[in-house]
Amino acid sequence: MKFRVYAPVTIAFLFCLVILSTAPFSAFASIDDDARQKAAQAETYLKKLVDEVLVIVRDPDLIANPPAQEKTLYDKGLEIFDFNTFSMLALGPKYRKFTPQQRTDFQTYFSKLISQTYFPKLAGQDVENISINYLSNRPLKPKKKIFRTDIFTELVRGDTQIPIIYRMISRDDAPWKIYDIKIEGVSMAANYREQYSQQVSLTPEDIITQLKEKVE
Amino acid sequence: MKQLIAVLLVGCALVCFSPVDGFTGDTAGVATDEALPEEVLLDDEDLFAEYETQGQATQAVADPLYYFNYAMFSVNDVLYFYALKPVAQGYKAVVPTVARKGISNFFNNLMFPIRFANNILQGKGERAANELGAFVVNSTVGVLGFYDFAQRHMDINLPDEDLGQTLGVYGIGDGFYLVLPLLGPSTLRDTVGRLGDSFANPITYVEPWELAWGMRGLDQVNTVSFRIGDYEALKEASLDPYVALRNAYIQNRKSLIKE
Repeated sequence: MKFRVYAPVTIAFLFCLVILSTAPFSAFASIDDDARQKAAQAETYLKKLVDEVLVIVRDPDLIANPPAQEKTLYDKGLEIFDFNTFSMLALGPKYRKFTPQQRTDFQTYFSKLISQTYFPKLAGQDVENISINYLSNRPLKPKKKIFRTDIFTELVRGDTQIPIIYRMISRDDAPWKIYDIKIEGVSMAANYREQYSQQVSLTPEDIITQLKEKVE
Repeated sequence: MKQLIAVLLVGCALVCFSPVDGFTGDTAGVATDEALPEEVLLDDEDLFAEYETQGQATQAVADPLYYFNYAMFSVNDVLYFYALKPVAQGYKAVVPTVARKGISNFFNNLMFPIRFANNILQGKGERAANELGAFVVNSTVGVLGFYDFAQRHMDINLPDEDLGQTLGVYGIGDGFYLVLPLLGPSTLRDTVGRLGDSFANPITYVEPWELAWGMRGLDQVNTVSFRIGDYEALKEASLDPYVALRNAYIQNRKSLIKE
């Protein structure tokens, strides 16, 4: 008797298990060759960008002239980073409350904050000893015409290796850009997102003012 | 005494095992906002929603001891800028990089029992074997571990493992966030792990105690001498340094547990 009652349940359960266990594979299979090929292109492109940054950082003329170096790095940063997506992910749900103009303003100051705090740090290192190992890339499932890929690298600085994942995006076949960086497993966008999620009472105006004050 | 420790451990385990959601206190993950203004491009919206559900958003940790933690964070901040950093800078100026690297290697080699035990506990056989091999080679050929022969010439690397990570691998949650005086960010689980690891840490058994603390101090100053500027950059780039550091700690630990 008992068996009769439980058998359909068991079969249903096993059926669910089978469905669940195959689900990841089908998701995996849908990352087609196109996405893989694009991811490989993204890696090549990233190498080129990083090399260009290293050239700027190592340029003796620019080292002698810090404001010019800062300007050059900032311009390069705008070319390399997709600050639109970056700020979207940094703001999290708050992003939806921003008007298009406020989004642009936020993006302007946010890009300045990132370049002001991180580029001088890069320039201040003994740059001759910096090298980057490109380990692998992992394409994410494309969404409509948005392609994304994570590029796993290792920054070697003297004797220490720092794992860095560059998260890159390409919309409508536009050039690849970085929209987030994960350093030792810490996503910058997610880090800002939690900071903003804590500031519940801040309006978009407050956020922009706060950022502006920090940058200036 | 033993009973007390046992009771404490069981208590901690209970807290850690209890669903984290019930503990969220004043922190919360990035909640999904239901209202979608029309002007947001559908493509972006898709991307965004996926990003939020990928587990990227759920890095938040319960922080019921916020006021204590914030006080400890402030104390550590002052200690860093007025004690640790100047000392580490002076030390860096006096001690050549080769020597500092050697000291770093020495302590890294000395912590072998912790990594070895935790590799075993996590069932990472190959890593445990690597650890053992590297320990034997570095302690002998590498002269007491001052030279990292195995890492340089045998292509072995020794990823950090600790009991906090092992407990994480076993499925035990963070419990809650905890900022320890001097030691910095931690969680209940990682603090329990640290306590457990101390039994496998050779420095614990060094006598007299002055020498043990001297070694700990040297290790700390030596480590910081390689990382001057990292904390400053995090602080400068953040809008709320306390939250930024908490989030960075939690994200970093999650990625260590995952690998």
